[in-house]
Amino acid sequence: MDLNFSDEDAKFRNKVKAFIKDNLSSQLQKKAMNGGSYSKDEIIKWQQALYKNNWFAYNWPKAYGGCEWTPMQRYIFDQETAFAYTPQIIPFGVTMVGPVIIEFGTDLQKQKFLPKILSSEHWWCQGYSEPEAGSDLATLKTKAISDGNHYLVNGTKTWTTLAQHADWMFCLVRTDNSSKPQEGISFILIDMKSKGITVDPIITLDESHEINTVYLEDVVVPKENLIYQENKGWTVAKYLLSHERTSIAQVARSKSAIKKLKNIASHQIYNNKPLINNARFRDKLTKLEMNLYSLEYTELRILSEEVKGSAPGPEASFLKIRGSELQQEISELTLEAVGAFGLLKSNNYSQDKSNKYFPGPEYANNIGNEYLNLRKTTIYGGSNEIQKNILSKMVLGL
Amino acid sequence: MNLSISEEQILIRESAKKFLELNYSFEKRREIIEANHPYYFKHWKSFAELGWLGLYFPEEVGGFGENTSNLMTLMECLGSNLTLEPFTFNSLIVGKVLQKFPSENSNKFLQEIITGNKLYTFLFSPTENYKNDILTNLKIERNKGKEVLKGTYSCVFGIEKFNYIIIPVLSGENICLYLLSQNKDGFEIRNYETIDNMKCSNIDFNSLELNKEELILKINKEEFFEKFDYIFDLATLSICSEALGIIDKMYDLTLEYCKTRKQFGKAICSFQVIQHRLVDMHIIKEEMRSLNYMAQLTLNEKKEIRKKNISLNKIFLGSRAKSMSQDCIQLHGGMGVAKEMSVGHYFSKITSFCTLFGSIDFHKERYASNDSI
Repeated sequence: MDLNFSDEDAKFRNKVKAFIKDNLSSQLQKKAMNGGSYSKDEIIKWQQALYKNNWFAYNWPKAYGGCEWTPMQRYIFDQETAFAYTPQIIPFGVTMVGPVIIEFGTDLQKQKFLPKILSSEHWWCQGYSEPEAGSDLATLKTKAISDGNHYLVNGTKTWTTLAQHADWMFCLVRTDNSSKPQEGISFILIDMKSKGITVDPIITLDESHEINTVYLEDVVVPKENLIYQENKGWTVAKYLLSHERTSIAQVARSKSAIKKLKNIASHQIYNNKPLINNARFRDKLTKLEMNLYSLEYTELRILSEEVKGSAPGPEASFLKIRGSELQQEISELTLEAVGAFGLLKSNNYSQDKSNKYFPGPEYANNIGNEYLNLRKTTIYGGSNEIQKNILSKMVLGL
Repeated sequence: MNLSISEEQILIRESAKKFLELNYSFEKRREIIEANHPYYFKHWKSFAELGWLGLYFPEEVGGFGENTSNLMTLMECLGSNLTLEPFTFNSLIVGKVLQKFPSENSNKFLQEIITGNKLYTFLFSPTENYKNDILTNLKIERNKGKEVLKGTYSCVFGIEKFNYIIIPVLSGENICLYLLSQNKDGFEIRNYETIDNMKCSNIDFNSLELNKEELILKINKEEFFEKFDYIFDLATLSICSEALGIIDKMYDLTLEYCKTRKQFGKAICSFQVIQHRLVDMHIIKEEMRSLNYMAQLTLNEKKEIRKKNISLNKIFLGSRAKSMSQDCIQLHGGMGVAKEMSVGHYFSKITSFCTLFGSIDFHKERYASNDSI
C-alpha cells in the first residue's frame, strides 16, 4: 500500500490547475462558490474546453478518444475541479451512454454518436423511471412495438433530469410482455426532436427546474437505434447503473463543501466568537470529516481494485449510499451555520424580483434551497433503499 | 393529574379545522401565495372574528383569557394547514410586548390588535442573537438637539406591513420602547421571501427623527430582558406547537402514501423496512406531543424550569423531528421533492422552524446553564 503522489501526479495537478485558470473566469467561479448555478451554455463551453484538451472522456478507452486516466489522475482532477467550483460534467452522455455504446454498440452507432458526445454537440438524458416504475424499475410499461424497420413507442418517463435541454434520450422500453419483467426490456436511443415527444417541467422544492416528465406518443424510433439485442436491455442497464453509482458518490465535491463550511463557520459569530470555536459545532464538523475520510478511502480502495482489472460491481451501491447521505449531512450543517439568512430564497431562483439584493453574507446565498434540493440524492439513481437491497443480495448473499 | 385535552380545546380545534378546511386547503393556500402577493393578510380579519387574535390576552382588553393550552391547540391547527399570516409576530409577540410592558395607551393598542383593526409589530429578529441585536443594532444619535435613530436589522419577520411598529433601543442602562407610525420618514424596508413562503425583511434607519411622544416606555435593560425572555420563550413554544401540527400532518401524509404507492406488486407499506420506519415516526410524533404538553404546563413556573422545558422542545424539533421530516420526504421518493405535492411544503416549514428562535446549539447551551445539578 502506498499513497504517494508521483512526480507525474504532481505535474498533472499543476496542469489541471492551469487548465482551470485558463478556461473558467474567476467571476463564474465566485458565483458558483456562492450558490449560483451554471447555465447550459457555460456547461457546454467548459465541456468543450475539456474535450479540446483531451480530458473529457475520462472513462473511455484511448482508441475512442478517451483519456485513460489512472485512478490517481481522476482523483486529482475531481479534487481540483471541485475546489475550484467548476461546472460538473453532465454525466448522461459521456459518463453513462458513452461507455454503453462503446461496449455494446455497432460500428455504425459508434460513428454516429460517440463524436457528438465528445464534442458536446448532443445533450443526453436518461429515460428510465416511470410514474409506476421507480424503485421497481423492471416493471416499466413504456411500450415499443415493432413495425418493420421501426419501433412505435408509447409511454411516460419521469424525473428525467435536464430533459429540457436534451437532444437525445437513452431509454428503457418494453418490447416483450410475455416473459419475466427483466427479460422483455430493450435499450433504445430516441431523438428528442421526434414527433410525439412532450417535455413537461417538474418544479422542485427549491423552485428550480432540473427534472421533467417526458411523454412519448406514437414516437417512431428506427431499429438501428436499438443497443445490443432486443429484450436484452436489462443487461445494458445494469452495466450502465454501476457507472452511474460511482460517479454520484461526489466525494470531491463533498470535500470542497466541507471546506466552504469551515470558512463559513470561521466568519459566523456566535456568542461573540467565531462559530468554529464552539465545541458543540466542532463536534458536528468532526463527525462530518470522519464520514468524509472513511468514504474517500473506501472509494480509493475500490478504485485501486479497478486498476487491477475488476469492473465496478455492487461496491458502487455502497459509495452511492454513503456519498448521498454525506452530501445531505453537509448541507444540513451548513444551513445551521448560516442561520436565518439561509432561509431566504436565492437570487437565482426568485421568480418575482423581491429578492433583488441579498442582505446577508454572500456565502449564505442559496444555502436553504440547497438543503431542500439535496433531498434528491438519497432518492435518485436508485434510492438508497434499493441500493441496500442490492448489497444484501450481491455482497451479503442474503 | 390530567394530561388529556379539555372540552374548550376540542371546541377551538373543531372550529379551527372547519375554517381551515374551507379556506386553507393546499389549493387555496397556493392561490393565496400566487394572488395575494406580497401581503399574506387575506384572512387576518377572520382570525380576529374567530377570536384567535385575542385568544391569549386578558378579557379586559377583549381577549379570551390566557390559557396556554388553548393557544397551543390553535397553533397546532395553524401548522397543519401551513397558514401564511404572520400570527406569531403581528399578534402574539407584539401583543405580549404591549401587555408585559404597559404604558399609557397599551390597552387601546391591544384592543386594536385583537379586533384586527390595526396592524402592530415589534422590531426583533427571531434568532439566537436576539439579545445582542437589541443591544447593539440600533443607536440614538443626538444632532442639533434632535434625536436620530440609526442602524440596521436583518431577518426581521412581520414588518412587511404594519400601521405601528414598536422599536426597542438601548439608551444608557435602559431600553427605550418607541412606537412609530408607518408614515414616518427615515427608514427603508426591503422584503424577501423565505423557503417556506414567509416574509423576511431588512430594515435600515438612516435619519429617522424621534419625537418625545413616540417614547412609550423606558425600562432598565435587565428588567426588560427578564420580561422579554418570557415572550421569546412563549413564541418559541408556540412555533414548536405549530411544528407539532406539521409533524402530525407529515406523518399522516406519509402513512397514506405508503399505503397507496405500489412497487414490486404490493403497497410499499407491506415491506418491513418501511413499516419500522413508520413506527419510528409514530413514536416521534407522540413523544413530541408529550414534551410539548410538559412545556405548556410549566410555562408559568419559575424561569429556570420554563427555559429548560422550552429548550427541550426546540432541541427535539431540531433533532428527532427534523430527521423524521427528512424520512417523510425519503419515503415519498421523487414525489417528495416535487413542489406540486404538499409534503414538501411541510418539510420547508419544519426546516425554517428548526433555524428560527434559536439554533439547536443555543438551546442545548441554555438547557445546560439552567440545569441545577
